[in-house]
Amino acid sequence: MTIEINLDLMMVKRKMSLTELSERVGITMSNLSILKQGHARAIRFSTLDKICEALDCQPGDVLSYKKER
Amino acid sequence: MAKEISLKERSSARFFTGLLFVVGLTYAIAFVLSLLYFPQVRERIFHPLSLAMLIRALIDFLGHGLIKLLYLLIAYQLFRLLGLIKKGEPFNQESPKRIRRIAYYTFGMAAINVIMELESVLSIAKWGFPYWGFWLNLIGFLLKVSETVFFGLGILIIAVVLEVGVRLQQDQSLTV
Repeated sequence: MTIEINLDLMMVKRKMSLTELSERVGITMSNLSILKQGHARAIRFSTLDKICEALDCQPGDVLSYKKER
Repeated sequence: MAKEISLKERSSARFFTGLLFVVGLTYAIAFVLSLLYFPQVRERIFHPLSLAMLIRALIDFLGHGLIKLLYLLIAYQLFRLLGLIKKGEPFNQESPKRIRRIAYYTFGMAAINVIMELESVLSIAKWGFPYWGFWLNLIGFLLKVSETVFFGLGILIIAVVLEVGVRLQQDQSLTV
């Protein structure tokens, strides 16, 4: 997939664990790890909204587009 | 990577081999009994064989054998499908594949019927095309084949719809 998830980078920057983020965002650990590993097929705006709120960042900090060669 | 055969698969394979054996045995017993109780069959067996009769008999034997084999394969696929439903996983990637296979086996049955019946349709053609029996036979043949083909198409449509359903379910479960 050409969309990359930089969730782990933001979590390191904010010094936040996966458990803490899942509690703050209100989604399960398994769903969060699906997102972190890039296995997710879609992300809801509501989830993205909560992640950005919890990590105090912009959607572009979490998601990035990389051109496939 | 070689797929490991599970105990369940081995037992179902054993069940279907046994079933095949029982079907064969039933045929053999029916043949022997018909020889014993219907002497006219005995007379017909020892008729002088012509090459055309031999070819016809061979086509019939192979065709019917293949159709029975396809029936068994369909039964096997249904057996595995029921297993999936019993496990509570009807919407997985395996079930549309199995339904698709059932559709292909049905098409195979139609193809075998075409080969088997074509000979009898063509044998009437020697009396001339205006002969009403030819057209009657041809219409009967087309109806018989189209019945199986339509049935196969129906099953194929179910498989395609189920495939879309499985994809939608996966999309839903991978939406965070």
